[in-house]
Amino acid sequence: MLSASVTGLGAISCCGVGPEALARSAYEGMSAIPSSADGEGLGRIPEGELATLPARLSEERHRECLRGLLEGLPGSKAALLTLFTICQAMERAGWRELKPTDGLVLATTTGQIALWDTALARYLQGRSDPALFGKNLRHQPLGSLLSVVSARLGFQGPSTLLASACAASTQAVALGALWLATGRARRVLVGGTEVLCELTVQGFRSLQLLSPRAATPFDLGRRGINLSEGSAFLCLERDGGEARTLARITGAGMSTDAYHMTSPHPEGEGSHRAMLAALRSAGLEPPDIGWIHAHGTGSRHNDAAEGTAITRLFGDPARAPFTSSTKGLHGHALGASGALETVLCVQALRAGRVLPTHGLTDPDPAIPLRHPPRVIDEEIPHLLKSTLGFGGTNAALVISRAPKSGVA
Amino acid sequence: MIHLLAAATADPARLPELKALPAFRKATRNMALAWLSVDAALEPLRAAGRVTFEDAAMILGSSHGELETTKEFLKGLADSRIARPLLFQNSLHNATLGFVTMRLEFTGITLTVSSRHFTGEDSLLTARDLIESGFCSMAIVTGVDTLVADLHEALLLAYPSGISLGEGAATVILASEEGRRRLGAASLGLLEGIDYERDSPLDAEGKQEERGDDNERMTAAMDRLPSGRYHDSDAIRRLVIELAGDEPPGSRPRWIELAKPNGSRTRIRLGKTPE
Repeated sequence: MLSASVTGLGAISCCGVGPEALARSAYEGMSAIPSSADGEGLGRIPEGELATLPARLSEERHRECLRGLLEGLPGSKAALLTLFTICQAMERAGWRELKPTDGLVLATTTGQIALWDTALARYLQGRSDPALFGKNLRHQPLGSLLSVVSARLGFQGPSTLLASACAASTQAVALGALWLATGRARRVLVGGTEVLCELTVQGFRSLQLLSPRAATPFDLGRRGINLSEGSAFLCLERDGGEARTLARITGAGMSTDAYHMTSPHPEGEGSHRAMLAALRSAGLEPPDIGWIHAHGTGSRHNDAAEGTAITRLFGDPARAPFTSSTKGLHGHALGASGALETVLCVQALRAGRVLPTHGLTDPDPAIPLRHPPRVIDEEIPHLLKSTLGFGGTNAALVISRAPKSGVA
Repeated sequence: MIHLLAAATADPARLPELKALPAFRKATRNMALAWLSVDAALEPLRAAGRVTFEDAAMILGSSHGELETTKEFLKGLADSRIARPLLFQNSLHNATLGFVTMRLEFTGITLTVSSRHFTGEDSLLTARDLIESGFCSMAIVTGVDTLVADLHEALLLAYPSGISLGEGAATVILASEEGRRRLGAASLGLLEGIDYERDSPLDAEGKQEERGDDNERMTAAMDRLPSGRYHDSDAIRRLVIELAGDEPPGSRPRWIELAKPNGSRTRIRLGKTPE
């Protein structure tokens, strides 16, 4: 059985800096996704916010980690966001430094793409020489983000980078909890980072998956997803003690659809198995779950498939727990989405709140779920976090309320 | 106890034959090579008639991922502002594993790993972690990286001078004792451990990423690199080669040493199957 204490949180998204900004957005129902005349509601982190990040950290050595990267913007944005959220999580967990017995699991789908994507086009058009482009191309392997982050932190413990699309950072949380269980690390930083780029924006547009305004997951009129950027990290320890534990990761499940590269299995087969596996690993049954925080992207296929998976898990919709998605507030941060939403879930769990699906006004009758009508004050003992990713990957976590918790 | 049950590399000579099949016509080179190595590794288990993916995981490591497809997508965008959806969906690092799982109808746990020079090692370690924690009893671990013709010259300049870049795919199949018995497979040996020194720490000026220009250190690293061509997910290929090679009796347990282009090194400990 998995059991990891969450002792620190760090986050940055289009909703603002810090886990509190994300939570406030959710409690007040304030979406950070603008409607766009171009037809693409994107969740960007304001550029002006980036320069303020060092000052938001308490430790001078953490501020120093970030300062050098500010000069390299926009190329170094992924590294900057990652280091900020790692340092923020560490400070909040009371981790003074990283030790060789600590671990780091980072997730992303595009890494430091801003350092080479435009340079690639110039090179192929003959407007750059190989030597110059070679320096950019050095940053193409996703692992280069892990390298630069580890180097700046002076970290030499076990680490890895997961690139399993939108399920990646949920997998990172699962893997981190697993490292604690096997003794591979005594503490683990887990999370993900994603920055907006032409590849993903134009790619999702070509798949006709983008919504021009804030997404409305599970709504009959849902029109697609909002791509966004962000980073989130959690500090995990085997036992953080009552005073420091914000929540516990008590179960994880992973599976694969093996159905299609971009569309989920229409019956939610893989998603269902991942959620069931998470419950089993936590030693729980479906009725033990009080809330499902769904992947809920706002795409027709994802929401239908995931809804079917959830319905299968609980049988009678009337007996199912509340199900919601918060992507209409903060968008879909791809490889970082699992971690970002887990940070939000931890806070809501601590505050004794169940979050609604922002913008849901006309629930799709073909997806019979129990939707919270607004923020509900309810102390949930266990929630299920679900994610689905391109390539057919599915991952789910059971997040359990800490024995004693204060208001987030 | 982690058993090595099977090991194989992709035979590039089979690519044309594979690409002629309808299911592989649109496969990228990364996908095709990964498939060939997985297929070859599963062959001895299939011959014994016991392949089942119940309680299994697949971990695929690729450092550069689907770079060829990404290049084509971005080039199309730059040249004509046309974004091709099929190219986009195949450009993600995870696309390689997605393709292989569809061909195999594999529905277990899957993860894509991309840790640059340690991609192969981290893929093996992730598989070991999943098996040891009971998440699965068998894991198919593949490392694949492919060269991109248009970018070869620039890629060479992204690595230390003198390095000979290569491509390839290799797969090993790991299992717990329970998994091995269920598959009815013989053990080729034990994966007893993987040690590595990771990236060198920042020097005083914080220029870790520029260390590729440190000629003296890189020359020393180059001396330790094996002859032949290097790619970042190479550790799995080296393991396959070691398992296939001639070993003097009593030579296990022993360490397989690998040097990395950034001056780091790893060691994989290969153990003897208990009698």
